[in-house]
Amino acid sequence: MTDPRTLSRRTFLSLTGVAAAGALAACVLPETADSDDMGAMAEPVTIRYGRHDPASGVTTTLDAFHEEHPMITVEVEQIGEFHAKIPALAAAGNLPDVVRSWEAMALDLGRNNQFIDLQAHVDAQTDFDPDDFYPNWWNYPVVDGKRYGISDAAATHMTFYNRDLFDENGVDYPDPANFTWADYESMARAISDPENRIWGSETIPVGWHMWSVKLTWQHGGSYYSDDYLSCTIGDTPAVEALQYWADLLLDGNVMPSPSQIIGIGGSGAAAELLGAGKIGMQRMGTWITGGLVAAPFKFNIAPEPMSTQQSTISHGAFNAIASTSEHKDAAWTWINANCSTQGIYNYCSEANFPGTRRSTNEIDPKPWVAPEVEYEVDWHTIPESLEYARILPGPANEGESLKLIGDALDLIYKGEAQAADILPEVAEKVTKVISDI
Amino acid sequence: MAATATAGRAIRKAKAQETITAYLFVAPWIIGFLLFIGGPIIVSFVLSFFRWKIINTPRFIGFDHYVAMFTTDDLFLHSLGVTFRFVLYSVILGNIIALSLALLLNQRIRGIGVWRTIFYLPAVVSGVAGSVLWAWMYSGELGIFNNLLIAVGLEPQAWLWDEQLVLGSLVAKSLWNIGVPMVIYMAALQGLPQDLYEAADLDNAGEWTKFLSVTLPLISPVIFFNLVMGIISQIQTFAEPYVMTKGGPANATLFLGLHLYENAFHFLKMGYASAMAWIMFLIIFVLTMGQFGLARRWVYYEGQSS
Repeated sequence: MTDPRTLSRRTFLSLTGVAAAGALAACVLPETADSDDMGAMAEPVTIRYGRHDPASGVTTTLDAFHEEHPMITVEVEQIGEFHAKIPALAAAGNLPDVVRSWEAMALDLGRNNQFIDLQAHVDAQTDFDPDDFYPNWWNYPVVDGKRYGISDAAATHMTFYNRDLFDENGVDYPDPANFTWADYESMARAISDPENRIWGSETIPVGWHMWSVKLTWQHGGSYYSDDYLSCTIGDTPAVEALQYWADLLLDGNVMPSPSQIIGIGGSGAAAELLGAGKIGMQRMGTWITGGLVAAPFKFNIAPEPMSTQQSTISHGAFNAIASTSEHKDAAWTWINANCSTQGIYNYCSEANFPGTRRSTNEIDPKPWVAPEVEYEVDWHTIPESLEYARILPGPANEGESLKLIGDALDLIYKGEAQAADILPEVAEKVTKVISDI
Repeated sequence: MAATATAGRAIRKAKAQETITAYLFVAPWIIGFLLFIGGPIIVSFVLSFFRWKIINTPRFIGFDHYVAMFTTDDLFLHSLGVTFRFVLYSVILGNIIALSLALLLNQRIRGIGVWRTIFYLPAVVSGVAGSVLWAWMYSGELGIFNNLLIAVGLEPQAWLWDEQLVLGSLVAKSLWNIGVPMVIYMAALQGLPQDLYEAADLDNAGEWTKFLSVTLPLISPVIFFNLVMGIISQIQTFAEPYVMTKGGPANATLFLGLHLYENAFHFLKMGYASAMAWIMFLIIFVLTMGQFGLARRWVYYEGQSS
């Protein structure tokens, strides 16, 4: 007789085997994780982190990461000509393990299986809080239920204005709570003095075709449908929006027209006009704050003006893992650190951007605030804009579609065509391009 | 007999060794050519029949790209037109100015070496650096050209933003790089036989007559060479529009090379760009062959019966 509380050796071995198999099954990584990486994590590994800007922005995070994870070395590669080299590296199967990709590029590389779906890693990371991210940034890099990146910083477009010029002309400042296109136009007209080469508004940066997408958003339109499968630039809201601003551009009494801009440096110098005290308002990304700190006037910040709805454009970048990476777990460990509250804060403090995590933006000193400015600035409008800002659209074949749209915008902004006449036809062509996935 | 046969074998062995040694010396170039030039040429030809976005799997589509170029891509024919206009102006003007400068610099006067160096110097500046420099010179507010216009009471011009002006601005920039044809013309002028000029003097020929009847015919092979090389290089113009205008305004400087680059690296249409590259090659080939055909009518080679 065998004591029921005792186990035979055979039974023990069987049960142990089952338990071991169960334990192993429980420990199995998510489907996307590379099982070879388990071994790799036990040994020192080096991963490559490709980004378009210098490594200085992530130095603090890197130092802390290397201290906490001595087995993982992250080598930062600054990649110039990003738009051309990243696809070339992908074609060669030589993408960095982690790529800090631009908006449309992240989606396009994801659609073409160059990046892995990160959702399983996110789900397996128990201390990861997706709700901490602003929804637009969290939801953007998802295509057909697959997540191709984690965002870090955001650069939204705001209205920067020269308070001194407003005061000199007796014009009320923009009201951050209710700032409309009509307000913007009337303020700009009141400030403009073309004979002395002073204008109320910056000129439209013709040639920067994505800049104008925010105008369509603010009027209830868009370049593309939400699923990016059709072009809606020929629809009434987009047509009306673009024609409205083209008319203001050509007016000459609101912003420098294409002919007026020639004598003051051409469109390439338009971005410098606010800093030079020659224009009253400029709608641009928050990166220009640094240039305004030393300006010989007091500046302030307001939201972008709205027509039928509050909206603005935001640039962003998404940290993705290449499908060719041999160290996907190590790569995720780095992304998790780099896109943590503190990791994002470290980068944002260096670059003066808000983070895409709410918790990042609660840390003092606020990363988007320029401490050198001693007068009052409505800094709060910058993180507030993350609640309504939209990220640059990411349709397939974006470069080609933008070329078609841009050629049409060039004609409209020069007054050589009416938006209603050419945009519907352009929309049809663009739809063919972006739906060819 | 045996000694002769042994000597013959030794010579053949030595020749074989010499041949092997020669091939070993040129092997790096041959390998480099096959890997980096010959290989890509073949691959680009094959790719031109495929739809390939770089980041996905190529798909065979036959001659679709070649058909699309002439049927659906409005910008292809437009870019061809831009390129041909640029080639026409820049090659003709470039050769006239290069030859004129060569004639001026072919004098025995003090300090001529300095002038020759000055005029040749731009030829050693890279296309990108030269383009950046010229973009500054054409700049609206800071550019030297507009400041000169303002100084004499004229309106500044949008050299690189006005559709009517921009191609001319790039042609003017191309004339800055005439150092190479100028040096070739100078070399040709210095090798001309003086007895023909002496004979012309005896016939009381004027300078202009001597230039037309003696100089031009004698340097016609060099003119032909410079025309062929100029057309080949100018059709492939890329750095200037890429750096200075990005093809704008309104595609007024969308050269064939830039359109090809945009399709390859902005739109990731690598197969289509490959097809464009082969059309570009065919255009250059046909134009070059055409020039060789016409050359028999106007190029004079000494010792050749007319």
